[in-house]
Amino acid sequence: MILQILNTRSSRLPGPLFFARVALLVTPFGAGSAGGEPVPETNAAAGVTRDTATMTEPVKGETLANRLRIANQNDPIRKLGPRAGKPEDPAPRFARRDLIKESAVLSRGALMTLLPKRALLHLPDSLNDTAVVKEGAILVSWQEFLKSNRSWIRTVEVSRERATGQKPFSLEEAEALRSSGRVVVATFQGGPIAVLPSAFPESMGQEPGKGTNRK
Amino acid sequence: MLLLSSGSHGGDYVQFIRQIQMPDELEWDLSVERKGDALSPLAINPSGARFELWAVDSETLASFLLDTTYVNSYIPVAEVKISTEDPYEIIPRTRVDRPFTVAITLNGLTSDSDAPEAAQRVKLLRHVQAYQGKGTGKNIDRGNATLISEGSLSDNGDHLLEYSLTSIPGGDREKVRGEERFSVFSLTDVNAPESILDSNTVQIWPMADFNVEGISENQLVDGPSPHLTVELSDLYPDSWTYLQVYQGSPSLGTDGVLVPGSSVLVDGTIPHDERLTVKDLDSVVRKDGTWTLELITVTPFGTERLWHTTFQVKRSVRVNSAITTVQ
Repeated sequence: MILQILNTRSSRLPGPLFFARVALLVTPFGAGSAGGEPVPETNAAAGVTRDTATMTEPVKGETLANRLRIANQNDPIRKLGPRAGKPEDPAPRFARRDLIKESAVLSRGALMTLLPKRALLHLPDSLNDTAVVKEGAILVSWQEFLKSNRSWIRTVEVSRERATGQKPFSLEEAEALRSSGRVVVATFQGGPIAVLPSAFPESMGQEPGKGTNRK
Repeated sequence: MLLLSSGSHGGDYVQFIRQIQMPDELEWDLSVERKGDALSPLAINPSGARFELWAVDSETLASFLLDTTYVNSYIPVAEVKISTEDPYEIIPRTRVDRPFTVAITLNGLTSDSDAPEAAQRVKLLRHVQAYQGKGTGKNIDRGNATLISEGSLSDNGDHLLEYSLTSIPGGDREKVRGEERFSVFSLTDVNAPESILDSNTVQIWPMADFNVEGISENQLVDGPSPHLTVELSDLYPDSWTYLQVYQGSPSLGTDGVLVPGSSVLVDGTIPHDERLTVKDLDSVVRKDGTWTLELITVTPFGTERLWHTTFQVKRSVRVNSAITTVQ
């Protein structure tokens, strides 16, 4: 189980990402009646059980093409209610998203992590190189990254009201953040949270999180 | 709100749960334990919030939106599940010739005609996308998937859609590979655009093909058995493929003898190609007579005979002679 929200989720992970693990089994010589070993009913290494009683031959492409024609004429979605909502397809807007591009990056040594862009409240010039993706760095969670990088990261716990700008930073508070020699990250309950520009005095604006250009 | 979550760092992937508050799109990354549940402490605005579960490859940084749920006071909750004959749990997958079922569960729709339309109805979309060549789906632009059918649902409860096989485009139907995605979207609301309520994807893999060299139909073997070269292509990610031999004419369903060195076991996430050289046919073919050689593959869809041939063995030598003794 990966995620369940309101008891509605099913487990899933991205699929096409691993290379197949392949075992080539060289079977030993045997001395059965035909001179070898019968094919076992179960391949223990694979957990595969063979059922020769229902052995079949593969379906041919021509048969599949005929089946497809019938299937396309009977797509069950078309038997549901009529099209609804806007005519344009909303899916590409979601399908093209990329968490890396939509996040700020912090990286040092062999590790890196992601956080919402507006959670990065301050990035001193001396630490500019920590806000880019470095080739070879391994991505870890925010918590894991913070554990080993506390010396140069300062976290500022903010309330929901502050993050949304309902209770903005005073000028003094904001200036204190900006004068820090460390990277400043806003957190809520320990997790990095974006802080809307309206949480800062108008005269200051907000320093946005740096991009994610690879280095 | 109840959150059940797995680890934030799982093997080659790091998982992130991001809560996005509407309408400002304020983003917060939840701190999650490896397993367990927690009440999200960030109260949801009247405009709702979207929860997203991402997995990011820790080395390549390829990110995948695994799951998303949009929650507000009246937007319905949807769940899309796809089941196939393959028990693989990580992602629904099947083969190009096999059926699959899409189960959509809806809760929270209202039949009140005075309610906003977004509370009365959701839209269901079916997208298909072929993988080119030997593609595996890695680094493809899923925004290019083709919308092939759509409809709407206005009833709470379970809705089952049965598909006898995939509709991913491709001329050679045996070799089609790609994915189908089924998505439920909310309708436009005053405070939010059409949002994805849930979606699920099934991966479709091609049928295996092969080429066997070194033996021909009805070949006479009167000496050492020939060496065989077997080229296997697109073996299913969960499969066991082997050569078997038995005495007699071909008979589908016969239990034969495993040919040494011919067994290929695949336990992965993508189809596999393999090239075998079989030199030990002699060890299992010792008697004269008619023999049948078969190429078998075992997958979650059953046991299939991909190929077979018959050959004749005649190694015995009859010597006509007389033996005499002289004293």
